[in-house]
Amino acid sequence: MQVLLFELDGSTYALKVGAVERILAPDEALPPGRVVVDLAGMLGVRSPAAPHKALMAGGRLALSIGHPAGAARIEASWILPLPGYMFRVPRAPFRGLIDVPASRRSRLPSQALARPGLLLDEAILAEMAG
Amino acid sequence: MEPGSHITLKSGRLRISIAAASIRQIVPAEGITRIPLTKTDVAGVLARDGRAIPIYEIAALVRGGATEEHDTDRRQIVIVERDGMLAGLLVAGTESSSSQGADPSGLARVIDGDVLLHSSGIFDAGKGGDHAALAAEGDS
Repeated sequence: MQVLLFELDGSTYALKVGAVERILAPDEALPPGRVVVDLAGMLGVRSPAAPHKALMAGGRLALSIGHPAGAARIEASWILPLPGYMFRVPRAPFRGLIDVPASRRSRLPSQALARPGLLLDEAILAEMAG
Repeated sequence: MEPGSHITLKSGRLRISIAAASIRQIVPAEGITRIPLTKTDVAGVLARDGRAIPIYEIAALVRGGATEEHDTDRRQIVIVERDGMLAGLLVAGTESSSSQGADPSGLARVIDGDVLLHSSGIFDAGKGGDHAALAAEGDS
């Protein structure tokens, strides 16, 4: 699975490549019809000063993300499910924790996954954005 | 408390006695990843042995979400297991004890860790930990 990586409030997040149509730089104009939703606000973490935006595929959502940190191909076995009993919301927008085996970390093009990152669930994010 | 070998978990002035049989591992408090939208007593998760293990502030479990300044000394994670589910407890230290429910110094109250885990609801999906503090109050 190919994922796009970005940094937000000191943590690494990822979105499936297929879920994102395009990434906009902070100064790029938003295409007409797109609605910006602040990911940091949804997650309750600190917003970056000048965030990039991810135009999500198949809808009007433009997700205000942090700073892009490259792309990586990850294996399904590296995605660890997060137990539902630890969350205060019924449906948390995470597919799981990406934990790259130590033996594979040096071969990744992005070092953003040198530590575990969170793979976001674009469908739940779209629901949360309304 | 049930008879048998116990481990005493230390956090600030708290002493929590837990059956050794419930403990799967004790590891250094390193590599915790913060996760948004978690309950207030969750410190993050630890990726270990192919699983993401939720890590709890044990002092917050006892007090129903609040921690105190002197609880910041957290050096170990005690990983406990119940019905195949895992949870880590963030503590300052541990020591083994043959007698459960007694603090050798006589200065600290000792809480039954098994009662705490049950009443905190940390293994119950959709259930909060609001009752942990009440359970702890009645177990001093």
